[in-house]
Amino acid sequence: MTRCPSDLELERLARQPDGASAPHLGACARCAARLAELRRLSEVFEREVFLATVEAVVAGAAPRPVPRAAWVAVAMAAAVLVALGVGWLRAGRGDGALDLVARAGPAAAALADGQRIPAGAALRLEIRPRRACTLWVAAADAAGEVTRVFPPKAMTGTLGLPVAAGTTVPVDAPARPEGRRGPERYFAVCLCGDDALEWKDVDRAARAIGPGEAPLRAARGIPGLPDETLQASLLVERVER
Amino acid sequence: MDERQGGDHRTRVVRLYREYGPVVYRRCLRLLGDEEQARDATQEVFVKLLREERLTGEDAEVLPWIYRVATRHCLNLRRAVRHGRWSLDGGRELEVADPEGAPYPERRLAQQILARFDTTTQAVAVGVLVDGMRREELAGALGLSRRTVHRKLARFLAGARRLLLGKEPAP
Repeated sequence: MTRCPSDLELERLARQPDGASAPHLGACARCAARLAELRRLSEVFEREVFLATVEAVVAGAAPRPVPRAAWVAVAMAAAVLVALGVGWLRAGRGDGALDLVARAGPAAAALADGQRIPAGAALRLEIRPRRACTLWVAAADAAGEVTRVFPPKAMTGTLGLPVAAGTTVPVDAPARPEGRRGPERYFAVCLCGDDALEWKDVDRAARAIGPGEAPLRAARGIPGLPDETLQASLLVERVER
Repeated sequence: MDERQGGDHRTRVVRLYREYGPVVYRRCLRLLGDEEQARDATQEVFVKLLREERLTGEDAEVLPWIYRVATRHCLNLRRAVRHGRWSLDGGRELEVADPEGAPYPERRLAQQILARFDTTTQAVAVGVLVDGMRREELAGALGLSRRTVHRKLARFLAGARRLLLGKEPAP
């Protein structure tokens, strides 16, 4: 070996030295320093990290059987929520792992899917993924126009916003320009995993729904997005008041 | 889980954590640059590793996998920090290494524009520009094809040049 090994190679060589690397490691001052640092950090880990975290690691990795009573409680809670019509809506692929609720004001009641609201009303959306993912919120109207609602371009550029599991993200959705009337659907899409979902991909897929009131009302999700995308949507009917 | 199973679980986790924990910690410290954040990240990454039950293989398989999981976790953490969801007081910028074959302007650009790319592209850029890995080695560590590594690195560098000229990266 004539070149300096990468960090990953050095990790392996520190654990299992081999004959091919020995001459280089013995002669290279830089690699000698890196090996010394590697060993120093092993000692730091043992002294300061291991003891402080090992119990949490043991607990975090323990198998977690779900008690039967918990399943019953979850089922009852779900039934109550449906009965109360709180307006949480889950749609699209996945396992109902993305929640979307909309209000016509910070303290207003949650809107039901298809609810009529004043044409000039701004909305407060609350989106909560059950898994870590990268979030986009888009709005589409019957003219086939698709609007980027969140995150703003100034915040993340062409990419969505990474959201931790269980985090509720509040999003202010402004009223449509000129108080236009008609159906409008808000789509929350959240891609799990490490791949990127850029705005142009969301925009292109949402435009495939096409113009027209009927397709928009029927479109519970944006077609053509990756399988790992969680989705939820909510339709509002903007009317003149 | 009964008492005996609990004891077995604990013994196994402690043994694996003692053996591979330092590898995770060094990787997290390298990417996060903050000891406290690295300690927390090490704990989180290790729980992920244990849940996938792959820590019992050969080093040639296990170490690249640890590298991949820890790298992606820490890059996601850095990205979340930039979006203001956590503070990273005391965190330093990535310390760019001096890998052979990476021209100086490309290395300088890396720190400034890393944030503008998706996590996989970031992992490729960090692997080549920060860790000094060869393309083949990085492809194996990240579970990508060599062609994908080459394409993502080329896209990253092209985007970096565009950003330097005051333009958005090409879509």
